[in-house]
Amino acid sequence: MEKLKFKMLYSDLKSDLVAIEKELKYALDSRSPLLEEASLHLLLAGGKRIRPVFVLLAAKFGHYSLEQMKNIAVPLELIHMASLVHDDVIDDANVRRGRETVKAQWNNRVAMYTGDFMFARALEYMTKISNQKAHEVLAKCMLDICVGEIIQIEDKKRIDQNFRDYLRRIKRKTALLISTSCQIGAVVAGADSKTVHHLKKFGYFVGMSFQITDDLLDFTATEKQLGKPAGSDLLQGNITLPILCLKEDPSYLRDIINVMEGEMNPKEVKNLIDRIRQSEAITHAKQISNLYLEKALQELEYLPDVPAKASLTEIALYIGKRKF
Amino acid sequence: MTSRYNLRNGARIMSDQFIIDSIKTFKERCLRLVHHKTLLTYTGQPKLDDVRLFFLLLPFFVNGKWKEGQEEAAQAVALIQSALTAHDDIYEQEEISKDQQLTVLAGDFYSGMYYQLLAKTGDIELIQLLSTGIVSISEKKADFYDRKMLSFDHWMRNLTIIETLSFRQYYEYYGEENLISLMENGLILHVGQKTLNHWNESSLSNWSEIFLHKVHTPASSISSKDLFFQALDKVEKDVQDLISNLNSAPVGAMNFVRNNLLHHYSADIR
Repeated sequence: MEKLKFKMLYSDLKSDLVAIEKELKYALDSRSPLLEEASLHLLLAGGKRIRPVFVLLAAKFGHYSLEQMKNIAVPLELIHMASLVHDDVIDDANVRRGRETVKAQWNNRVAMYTGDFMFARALEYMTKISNQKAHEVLAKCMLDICVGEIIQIEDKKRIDQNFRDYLRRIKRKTALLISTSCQIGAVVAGADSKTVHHLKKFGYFVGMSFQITDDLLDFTATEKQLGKPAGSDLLQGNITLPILCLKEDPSYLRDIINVMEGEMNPKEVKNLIDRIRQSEAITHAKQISNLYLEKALQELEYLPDVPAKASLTEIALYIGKRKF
Repeated sequence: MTSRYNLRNGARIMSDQFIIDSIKTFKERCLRLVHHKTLLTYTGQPKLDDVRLFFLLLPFFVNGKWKEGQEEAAQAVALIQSALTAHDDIYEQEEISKDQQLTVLAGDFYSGMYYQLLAKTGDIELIQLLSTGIVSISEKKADFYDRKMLSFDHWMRNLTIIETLSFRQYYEYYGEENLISLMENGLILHVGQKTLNHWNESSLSNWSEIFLHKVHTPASSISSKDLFFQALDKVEKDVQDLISNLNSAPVGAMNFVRNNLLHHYSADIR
């Protein structure tokens, strides 16, 4: 239902997104039946396709051409998907989007080759774009994402981290690729530099809000909605915003450390997740997410009045309200 | 990097030391590109072995200089190899270790750096070429896992693509076709020798593991290992012939091939 609502937000783009979806499938054609099956396994599990949506909407601020935008939207989604396949190896995750992960269905090495295949296919697509700036932006973004993941591993179970550490991490983890989607879509469509700048910032703020919401939902949504067990982040030692809000409270600190160290039984874990869900930390985190959304909406005020502006507003507002 | 030719009896001589120093300098430049403190602590330096680097530098040794953008392209291929090799090191574990987690990311980081390097030079055509190559390499690696059994020739064909395709693309892009045979045979000989060393040390690499568990022979009169030795003997002979006939290459470069590739496995390994 939620997914349906999200898709209704960009009904104007419906036919273009159908074309992108078709192209994504086509991009995963391979001479290796194994790679094709493994990549399609993830593609067909669905996803919000927010990166392609932002590419297309940003391009509406310039000279929009679907044929051209396919060559940006497809690689950005493939890069996102490839990083998920590799992340599941890193996190030793068996379930994603309610389905077995590539590493669980096959093995770690097949997951590595599937991710490498998808990354390479993404760049193949991207090279249909001759704009050097677009390549430089994407390359930097890919490296920053990677550095963000390295930091995430370093920060795992590190209870003495602060808000700045967290914000820097989610910027690299999520906000950059969304920001880059907006930026490259607009650059390649030939939007003016001021518009590109504000779209890039819009993407960044929306991305920050999106990730904070994601981190909140890890506690508040159900396993069915999440497609993985609730509290997975904490169990893996990832310290997200709600935990940062709670860690100064002595009644939580010991339990937070214990759960990350795997020293709690399932019933105790459930109790802790329930306590976090009902705590003030969820409200605080929600407020911070909303602050980012407000900043995103402010950026839109600087943009020219084209119909895509209304869609970007609606998507930003949806992200603030989404339930999974 | 500038070349230092000495002329003696009309023959071009680059000293053995010059070749070694050039490889060292090139390696240091590549390592600087991907320097990352955490990765260094947990995964060590990227795997950039001297023989592979030699073949990236061979066009420079033969031509006496780099063509425009060629050094960056050579670095990009070195990074691609490091990235893909890092991911070959990921194996199944009961519980994933920090080293392994960071090895996944090291590979992704080197890949990103190759893209950034070429994006900065604006060589989009080469990015396209090398990316297509990585697709093919990944397909061949997956093919090893997709098949229950495979023939020796099939194993060898896949291995050749996995180990040499990016190099071939780089050679072709810069019009170095006359050096491709030496590069391909040299790299296959090198990987073959490493496979033998692994057998000898009872520490199997991915490809030797695939070889031992999946390669079958059409006739029972010859074992797959013997086929492997025969093939390697032939490759070594080809490399010997190629360096004898390659008049354009400096003496030091050919000495490097002799010293590092020829007669590097002995009968007692068999």
